[in-house]
Amino acid sequence: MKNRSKALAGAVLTVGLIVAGATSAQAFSGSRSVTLPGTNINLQANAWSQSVLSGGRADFATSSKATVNGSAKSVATIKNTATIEARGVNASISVPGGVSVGGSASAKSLSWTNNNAWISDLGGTASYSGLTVSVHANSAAFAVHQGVKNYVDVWSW
Amino acid sequence: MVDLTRTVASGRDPRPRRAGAVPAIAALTATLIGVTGCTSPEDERSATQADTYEYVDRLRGVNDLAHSSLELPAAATLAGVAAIAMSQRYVGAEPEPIDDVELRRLADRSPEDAPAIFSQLCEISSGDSRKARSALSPDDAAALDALSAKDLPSIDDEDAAVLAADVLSAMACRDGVAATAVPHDIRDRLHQSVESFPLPFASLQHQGLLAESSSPTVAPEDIEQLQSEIAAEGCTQWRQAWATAASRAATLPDTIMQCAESTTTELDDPTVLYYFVSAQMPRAVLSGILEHNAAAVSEWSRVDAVFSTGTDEPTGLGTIAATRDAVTLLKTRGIDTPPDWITDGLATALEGDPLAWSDAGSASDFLYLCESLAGACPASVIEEVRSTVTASIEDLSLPAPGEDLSAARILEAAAVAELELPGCTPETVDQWAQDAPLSLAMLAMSQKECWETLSLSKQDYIEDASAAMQTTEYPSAAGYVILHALGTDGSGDSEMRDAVSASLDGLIALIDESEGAGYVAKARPLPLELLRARIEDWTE
Repeated sequence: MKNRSKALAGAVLTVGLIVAGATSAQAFSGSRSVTLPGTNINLQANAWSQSVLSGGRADFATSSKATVNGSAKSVATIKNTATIEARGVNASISVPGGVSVGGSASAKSLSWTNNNAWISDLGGTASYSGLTVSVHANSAAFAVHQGVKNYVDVWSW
Repeated sequence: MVDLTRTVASGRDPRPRRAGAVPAIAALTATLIGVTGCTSPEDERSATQADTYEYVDRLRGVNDLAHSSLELPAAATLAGVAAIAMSQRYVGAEPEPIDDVELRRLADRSPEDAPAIFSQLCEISSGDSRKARSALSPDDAAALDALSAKDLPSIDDEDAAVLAADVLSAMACRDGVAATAVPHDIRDRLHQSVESFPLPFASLQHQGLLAESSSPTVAPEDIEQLQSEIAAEGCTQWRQAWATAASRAATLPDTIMQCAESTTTELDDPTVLYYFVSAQMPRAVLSGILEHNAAAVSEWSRVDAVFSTGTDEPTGLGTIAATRDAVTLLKTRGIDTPPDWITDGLATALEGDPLAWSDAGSASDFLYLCESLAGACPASVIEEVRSTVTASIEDLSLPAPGEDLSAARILEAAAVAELELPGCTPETVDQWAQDAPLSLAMLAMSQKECWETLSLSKQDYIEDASAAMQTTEYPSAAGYVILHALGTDGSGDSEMRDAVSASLDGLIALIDESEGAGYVAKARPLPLELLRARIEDWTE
């Protein structure tokens, strides 16, 4: 059920180990939840990014999950949008498959949508340049179920 | 290259430490009690400690206006602001105007498709389609222009119905025609798809896609369920929305009606306001709710607001690496007792897959935290990460440019864990000082041969630190400060402190110029906090 953007496939393979590690430590990264209105379905956004910058590359992993009492729950539509942002002096960032946010060179985003699924996730490696102080990943979760929508997002750090 | 001589690090900072390392809580208590009058160095130190402790404690809530969403609004903000504007107009209040730039930022961050984004922009713009369209990205604007009835999804359930409603609503706003012009067969399918779902039913009706006279079907068991939930858990915002929508179709028990008419409901999600209006909540009731939640509504109306729910707070925060930096910052400021979230978070991370600490960098982060937080890690984990870090040190050579920080973290963790460190030779220290000063500083803290043969003057150290501050390796600047301090008597050096601090201020000014005035003071990025703490600690 879990799908990934084709554009990211190479990056995901490259950082497979790191993303696996990120997932295991996910509860320690950014995580926020809301309830889908009128239901007991929990919509959760998770974000992970590395905070120690080295070598011009920064790994990230984001996900949207729908659960009921901690168990996976399929919803009609679940979408994850990862936004990777670099901060600093003339900081810019590139992400495979990413599009500029608001025309900015320092923030790029990419999305993935699954239907009749409980999860949508993304992961990869961003390249930053300029004097970058920090790289942040935002994970935005969006879901539609029983005719209502909800949203939640979280920053990794 | 380092030589093959191995030295067992003491794990202790060789320089005499100051009395600042008093128990953190005692220091903080003293600060919080607030002694007024003349300010002594001890007072300043306590104030700095209190500020640092509060800063690290706040990092837990890092969802976080200051750290990240300073510039980018939350993904939900467009929907939230649209709902707020709609509800304010409904009760006769004037919504806060939003300029075109902010509208574009809201549209950029929305996770929805072009029709839904445009519909929400139309709500905010009071139906001004030109203004709404100008806020769309070029791709979304093109998608909107091409939108036609053939883009309607197959309307076979309530989810497809609300997505179809987005398309119809967008077309109605774009073309300036009434939504009621939608063909009857489509309206019939919309009706059938949502008739058992009061919330989407109310929203479609509000958009003019269902007849005013029609009502949702409300099953008796749904009413019983709602009644029991309200009795058990109270009247929450979404229960009130459901009750309001259902009240138009059925006679509801007093418990539910009281909920529908409550003006003291606590809101934690502004999008519920859309359903309050759609369900034609009495204006007096909605006006009371808006007044009761005036502070939250005001906060949400800011485009950089982050919405959260009262029951689902952020859990954790930060990666292990960032948490380690937070602990290092506390220790550098003489605080030995970190906030609870750090030990709780480490415990959570340790429950995860061991792959999390399989690489040398992560292993060093875990090792540092396990050694710094007594009793926080099981012996098996400590043994594993010690082994990984030891192996990485055995392979260590002079870090390549750009790798000083990564290598320094491994060496620092090894020193804290009292692992065997590489030694230094007079032939190699100069190269290390040039390419990897922070790594060399970590070695030099326990081995005087790593600093005593360095032939740099104070001015050299200042210039090198300042030069490093202007590169992507700015954390390396601390290495020069430490190396200089190790070569002096440890009594402090205000000239060094002032000069390197001025370089850091220069870096901050450049960042503010790039990110916006006052960015660093508000965001307080952890790497810069740690860098300043190290500069001050080693020149005090």
